[in-house]
Amino acid sequence: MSPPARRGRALGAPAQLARVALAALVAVVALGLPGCAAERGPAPIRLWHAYRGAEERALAALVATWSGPPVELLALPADAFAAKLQAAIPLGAGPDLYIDAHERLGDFRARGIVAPVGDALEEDAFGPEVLPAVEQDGVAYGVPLTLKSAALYVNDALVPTDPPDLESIAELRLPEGVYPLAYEAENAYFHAAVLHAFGGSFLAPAGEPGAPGATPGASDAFGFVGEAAERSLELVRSLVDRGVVPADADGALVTRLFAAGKAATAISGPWLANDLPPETPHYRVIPLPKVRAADGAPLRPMLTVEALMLAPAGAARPEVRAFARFVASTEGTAILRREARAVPARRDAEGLLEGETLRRAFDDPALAADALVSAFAAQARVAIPMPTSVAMRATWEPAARALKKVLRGDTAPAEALREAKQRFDDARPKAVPAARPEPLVAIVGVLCLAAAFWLVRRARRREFRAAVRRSLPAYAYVLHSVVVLGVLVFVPLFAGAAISLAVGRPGELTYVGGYNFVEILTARGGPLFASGSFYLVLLVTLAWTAVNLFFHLGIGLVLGLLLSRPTLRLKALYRVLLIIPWAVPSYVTALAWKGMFHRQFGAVSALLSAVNDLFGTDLESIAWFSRFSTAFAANCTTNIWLGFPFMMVVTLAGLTAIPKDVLEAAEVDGATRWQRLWRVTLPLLRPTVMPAAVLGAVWTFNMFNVVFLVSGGEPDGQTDILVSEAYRWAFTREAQYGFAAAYSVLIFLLLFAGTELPGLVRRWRARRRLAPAAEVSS
Amino acid sequence: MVAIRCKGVAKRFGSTVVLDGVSLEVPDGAFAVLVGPSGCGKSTLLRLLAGLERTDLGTICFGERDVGELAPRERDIAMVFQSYALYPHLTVRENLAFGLRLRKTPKPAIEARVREVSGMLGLEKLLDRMPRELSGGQRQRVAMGRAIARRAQLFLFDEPLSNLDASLRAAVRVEIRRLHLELRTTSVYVTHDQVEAMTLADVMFVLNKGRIEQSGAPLDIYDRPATRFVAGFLGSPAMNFLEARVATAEGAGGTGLALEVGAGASLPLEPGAFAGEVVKGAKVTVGVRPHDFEPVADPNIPALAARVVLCEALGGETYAHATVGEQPLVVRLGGSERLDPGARLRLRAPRIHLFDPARGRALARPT
Ligand SMILES: Nc1ncnc2c1ncn2[C@@H]1O[C@H](COP(=O)(O)OP(=O)(O)OP(=O)(O)O)[C@@H](O)[C@H]1O
Ligand SMILES: [Mg+2]
Repeated sequence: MSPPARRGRALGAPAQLARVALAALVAVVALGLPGCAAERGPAPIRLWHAYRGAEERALAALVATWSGPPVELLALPADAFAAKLQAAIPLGAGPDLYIDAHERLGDFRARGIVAPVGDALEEDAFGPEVLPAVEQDGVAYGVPLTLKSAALYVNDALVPTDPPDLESIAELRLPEGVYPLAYEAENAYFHAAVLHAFGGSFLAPAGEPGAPGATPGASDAFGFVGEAAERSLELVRSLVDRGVVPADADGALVTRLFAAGKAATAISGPWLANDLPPETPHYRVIPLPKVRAADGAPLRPMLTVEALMLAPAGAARPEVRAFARFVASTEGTAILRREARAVPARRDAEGLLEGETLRRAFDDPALAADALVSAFAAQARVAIPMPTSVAMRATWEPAARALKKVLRGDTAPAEALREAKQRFDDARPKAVPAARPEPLVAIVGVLCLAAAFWLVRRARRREFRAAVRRSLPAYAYVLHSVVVLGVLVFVPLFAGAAISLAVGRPGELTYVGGYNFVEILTARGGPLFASGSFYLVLLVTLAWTAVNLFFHLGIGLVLGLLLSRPTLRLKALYRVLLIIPWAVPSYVTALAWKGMFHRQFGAVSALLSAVNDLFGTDLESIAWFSRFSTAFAANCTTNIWLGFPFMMVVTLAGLTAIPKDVLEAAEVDGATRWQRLWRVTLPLLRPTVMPAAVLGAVWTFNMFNVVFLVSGGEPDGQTDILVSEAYRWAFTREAQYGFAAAYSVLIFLLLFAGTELPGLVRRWRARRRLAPAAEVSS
Repeated sequence: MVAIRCKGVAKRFGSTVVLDGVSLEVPDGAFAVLVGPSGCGKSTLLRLLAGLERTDLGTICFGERDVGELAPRERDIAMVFQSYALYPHLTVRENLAFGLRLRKTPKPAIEARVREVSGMLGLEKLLDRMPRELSGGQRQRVAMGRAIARRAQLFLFDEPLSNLDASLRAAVRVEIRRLHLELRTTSVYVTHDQVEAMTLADVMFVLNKGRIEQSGAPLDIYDRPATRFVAGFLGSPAMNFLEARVATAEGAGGTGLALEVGAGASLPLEPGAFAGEVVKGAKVTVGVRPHDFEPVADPNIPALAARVVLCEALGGETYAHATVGEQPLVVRLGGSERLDPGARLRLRAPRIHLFDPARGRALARPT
């Protein structure tokens, strides 16, 4: 075959690929266009929601009674809901209206994917406790549909009469081992009820503090400070200290305790009723009690208003607004109440029971569902809507940390709150003056020029051109993988690097040059090794990587060596068993280990108490996540468990590559078993294990799952590593993507230097070693 | 510096019998050479001596001591592996010093020994290279050096020179001999090479199918092979074997018997040479080494009549491939002689060996 013919064939494959791709594109457009153009008759109304199960069925039933234009329902996963909306609505591919929690409104409005509801809202149908939740600057941006808040679940047998206040719950006479009250005391969402009772809030009120008419939580300033906050913390701490409330409880534990009759009362939302198994002791739900310490004010939980929100395009269509009105109507919400036990947001909701009727309804199986809804409806009247400001999302983390520190007795309330405020202020986006882009443009320009110059110089060399021409078919073969890699790896990499030069929320990024890097590398003006500073986190990350790698290698090598012994029986079985930790998805393992490290109910504590029973020792169960050393150890244990099988497999592979006769030669040369291991086996394993170790180091350095799921950075963010810190900047601190991106760029540079430098040094040394030898031979 | 005694050593791998009752004795300080065809169990025997394998049956003693249960480390041996088995992660220098370092030999002593060994084997320029940077022959020399560097009480060599070129092989062979004369370390040496075997051996063992066919001084074995196998295995080109029948001699000096190889081709038997063993009418295998033929000019003297097929001239000597009847034959001629294919040769053989054609056993010794 002549060379031109060969080249023609080689180029043929990509060309064919391109043709296929083009055909596919044409087909997609051809199929898609009629769909867009089919506007015969009334356009359908598109409604997106994240409902599942009973709620989804109820919504479908509700829509079935609508007689207007057809409605297209689309259910999306709850965690991806907001992201889908943000992506689809600006492109015109989103819904006309959607259902989401009201606290997202601030964010949605900033992104321009929600519009004022106009005549979709019947204003006088909603009470003053609900309406402010959907209003922004006095304009309604959502039609309230249903309400969600926590209330008090009461075990009828243990607590026959409604306790008048929190203190009397604490004083209940109960059987041994039963908590008077179970709730997630370390969770800021539930603590809000206590805080509200003392007149506090997580976000400071707008306008004059304490001024009448000021809506709580309307400003963007941190409000979890001052007397109200301190007293709320002291109250809860005393409850935990006195054993009234279990320490360290999460949702699953509350469910378990209440279901087992080990908690006389529980504070939780309507979801608890769904989670409780049928064998749960008989219970009723009542509004949260008053607090004597707060001068008899009631506990007021956070209120979430599920609202219909209109996308800008939908808000412009009268039939969409009419549909929204229809869904939120008395009849519409009645369907949701009946079918899904949802609490209607309307004032004129029907079928709600009160007083003695309500109390009795709990004993009547036919009325139990109505009773539940009515009880939560009564609670909603005194609940406080969650603020819609985007700053609200940034309060959770500092507030939760302060709570944990106080409840575990590490810090006094005032000190913890001061730290929390500092952390909040620190993480708030600061006003940064936009930088002039000229230096960047100049640098990029110079780099491009240099690259172009270099390319031209190479291209002028005849051999180079010939080489390129000869390799053209080869380039054609690798083209598709280059494109795929480019799109999947390099574009995000460069996009991330570009974002690291900006501040602000997505959509309104401002170029600020190296500001983010300067901020990070100067620890945002604080002491270099202050909690949460880049350097401290880096130190923790390095220690984390070193400890894990040490144990991964150590355990992996030992097991690999043991498993490769020819005399071992059942080898295949052990091998499979030992690979299991690797085969289980890491987040499942991480969650399992987190459960085992639970202070009171985890397997580790159970083991300790078993040991105590057996040997009469007095080992205390440890609050694993309250101190750095134990939390770090818990993280490491989990990750070691996850990581050693890989090293074991690599070791086994490396061992098969070691020639047997070399070991025999060592044996004959007089090496003992140890000497053979140290002087022959291990050095020969190096070439196999080293790359795996580097890989393992990179994985561990970036092991987000374990840190995030096991310790979650506790205590106080001390066990966070660089990636989980970057995550917090992006997702829990008001979407400061620029900062997070700068962290990622730094991580990338660190890993690049860490993995590439040793290789460069080695090559340089090898060249030096060979140089004299070359002189000898020449 | 220890004598070796093996008694009834047997070894099998699964169902393959590799060694089948091997007994041998190597006197203290002797250089023993083990020869045999590929796969006959030479390496296995060496590994048994080294302690890398355990015997199934039989005993191995070093001196008075039964070493059957001792680990290789405790036997104080040095071994050159057929596959070199150099430490791939160590330089040549470190390879040479490995055994000494393990024994905590002082540094200057190690250096001196490395220098001495590398000088002897021409490794000076390679000392800082890694094994992967060496040719096969160089690796083999390093493996030799590694064994020699440690003055063990027993050296085991598994075909240590097979990868060297002819001149280097000759040089190292002499070197090994010299070293042995100097150190007098008991050595067991496996080889395929006739010259190596003949020149190095104080005592030689011919191994075949897991058994020792013959042992003794190399020249004795060469001159008086005990079996047809040994006779054929030693010597290059190999001994000629002709099937013959014992007949009454004809012609002038005919005093007794002659060997009838084919039609009109017979060799006279010197009277009394195989007394008792050879009777008229018996079938025998006649063995004649190529250089034991002599051309016969006188047509009256009974001789073998052969027809030349082709000639190989090697310079110093020429080998004629010929046939007697149907049986092939190789004859050494003088250096300058040339014969055309088809030419006739009349041959006489002053030194012959006779074997029992059925069992391969040598019949009485020729003088
Ligand atoms: N580990 C083993 N497992 C099974 N069979 C083996 C093993 N080692 C050797 N053998 C067999 O034993 C026989 C003798 O092997 P050995 O290596 O001793 O031969 P050798 O005489 O050294 O041959 P060569 O001259 O080719 O090196 C061979 O048939 C071989 O296949
Ligand atoms: Mg061998």
